[in-house]
Amino acid sequence: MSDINAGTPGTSTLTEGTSFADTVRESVARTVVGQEIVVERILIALLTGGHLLLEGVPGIAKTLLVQSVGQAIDLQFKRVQFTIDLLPSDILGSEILDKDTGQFRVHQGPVFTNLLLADEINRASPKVQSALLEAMQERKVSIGDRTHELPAPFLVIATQNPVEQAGTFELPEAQLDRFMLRHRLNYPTPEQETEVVRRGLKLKLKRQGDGAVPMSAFDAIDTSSPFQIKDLTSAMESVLEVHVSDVFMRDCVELVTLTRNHPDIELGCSPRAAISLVQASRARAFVHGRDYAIPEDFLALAEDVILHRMRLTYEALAGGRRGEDVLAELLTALA
Amino acid sequence: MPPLLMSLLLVVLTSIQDVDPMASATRGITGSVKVQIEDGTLRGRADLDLDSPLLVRVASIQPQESGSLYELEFIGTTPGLFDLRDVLVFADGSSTDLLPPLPVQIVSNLEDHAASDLSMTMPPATDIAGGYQTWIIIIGVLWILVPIVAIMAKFKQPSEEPEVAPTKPTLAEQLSPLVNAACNRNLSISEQGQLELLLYWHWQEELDLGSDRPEAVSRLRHHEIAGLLLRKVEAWLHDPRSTTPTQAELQDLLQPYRDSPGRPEA
Repeated sequence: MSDINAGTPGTSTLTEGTSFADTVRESVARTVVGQEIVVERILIALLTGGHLLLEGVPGIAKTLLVQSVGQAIDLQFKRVQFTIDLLPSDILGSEILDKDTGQFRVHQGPVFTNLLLADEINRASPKVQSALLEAMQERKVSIGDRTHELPAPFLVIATQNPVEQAGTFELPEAQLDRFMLRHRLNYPTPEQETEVVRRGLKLKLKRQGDGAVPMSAFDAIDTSSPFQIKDLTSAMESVLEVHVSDVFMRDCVELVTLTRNHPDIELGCSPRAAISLVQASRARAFVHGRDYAIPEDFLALAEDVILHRMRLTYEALAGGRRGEDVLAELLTALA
Repeated sequence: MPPLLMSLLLVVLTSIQDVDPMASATRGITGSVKVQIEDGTLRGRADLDLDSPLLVRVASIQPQESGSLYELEFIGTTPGLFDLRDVLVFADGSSTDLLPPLPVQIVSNLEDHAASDLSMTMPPATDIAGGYQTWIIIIGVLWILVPIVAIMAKFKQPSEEPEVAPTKPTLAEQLSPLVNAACNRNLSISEQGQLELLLYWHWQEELDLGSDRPEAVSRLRHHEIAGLLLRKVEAWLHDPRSTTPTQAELQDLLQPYRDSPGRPEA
């Protein structure tokens, strides 16, 4: 990390932050080509305990990326492919009758993990979405007449495919608000894509008895974990030490307030947006080796924190306005 | 036919009251009499209209050994005693004065003081203001004239100067008072935030870094000159360890912006 991002050197936080982030990046980079920004966003979500919604077309390594980050920090990882016929109990778990004891016992669902990848969350029915989002918010699950705490850390990374909307249930604004960040993934650059293909050519066969199947990128995930959960906890504590100035808070609150008064915005951001913007900025400052947040942090994160929390008016949409354009206006008006 | 040659025989039969020698009818109701005329052809007067108190028509003519027996139907609109000769005329235009009187009585069943104008109707409202046709003409004229006048008025309007929108203050105009204030007194939190962001936007324009603010700021912080200045401002405003700069230090820090040229905002 350059000394420009490091700001004023000499504190342990700086070295911790850069070391933690760089090591995770390096570990992920051994499996996934590019997508540094997404890795940064996942780290920010992990460090702040927020949840992350990834939007991107299929085949740009969303699942691979999340699994790689989870592996780098030795997090328990589970993946659920959301479908229309999924039930809340398929996610949360249920009580089943144990034949041997004649007692009901709890069968925990995949939500009981550190890192849950909810693939194509908009394909599940609203009932399932609500069950998961409630668990995300409260970090506990009620099965039968008992409440179960979810493991710590607990992070949901949900994905949405923005192109296939048939047969999907769009997440309403109130539920989107539960996600601290929504990040839109882009296609890799031609250079990165060339490297992806090159790595694909190096994959060998995975033998099983006398048979074999071609290895996939998932088989190539680096299984070593440079960090443990306690390291993540330590990093989370360091993030809490990152200083946020009054000027910085003013900028964040002002930006969120502006979303409520813009003529092209029908629904502005909730106070949760301001909280998320400050918290995420703190984590970004930590990842970039600073122990204080600067405007670059919230400017870089504004799109991911703000856009999914505001809804444009029908007239604005009909006029071809995009959320990104309105946000750019708001940032200009901030000064 | 000379009237003097005519001899008349009248037989009057009333249809309503046989007992009454004089033919009688209720006004508005048709009565009839039979009249024998030896010579000549009778007709009702064609020059009378509904305003006439009595009208008559020839219902039938039956040839007789001597002359013809006329059945005359009459209708009266005004009560009173009338003479049918007044409303009859010979076909050759000669007067019916030589005929013996043909009295008929029109009676009314209403009381004397009752309004008894049979043709009385409520006058249409348009009568008051000139009648239906007048109004149709007026509306027609207006229908044509109004658009013409409106179009002509539009073309005749003097070309107004377009409203000049109040010009937004330039970046320099926004920046200058904040920089001066920062050099002369303590800025409020809000002013500090404004100043910092305006400095970013100032450099973004100065170095032509495109319209993407976040991307521009990221690049600015790495710029050789701008980055140094902006990081100093950042440290002043955000780093908890940095000490508040003295006025002299602030003067030096903000000097490059004090005389920045005005540039309209994009």
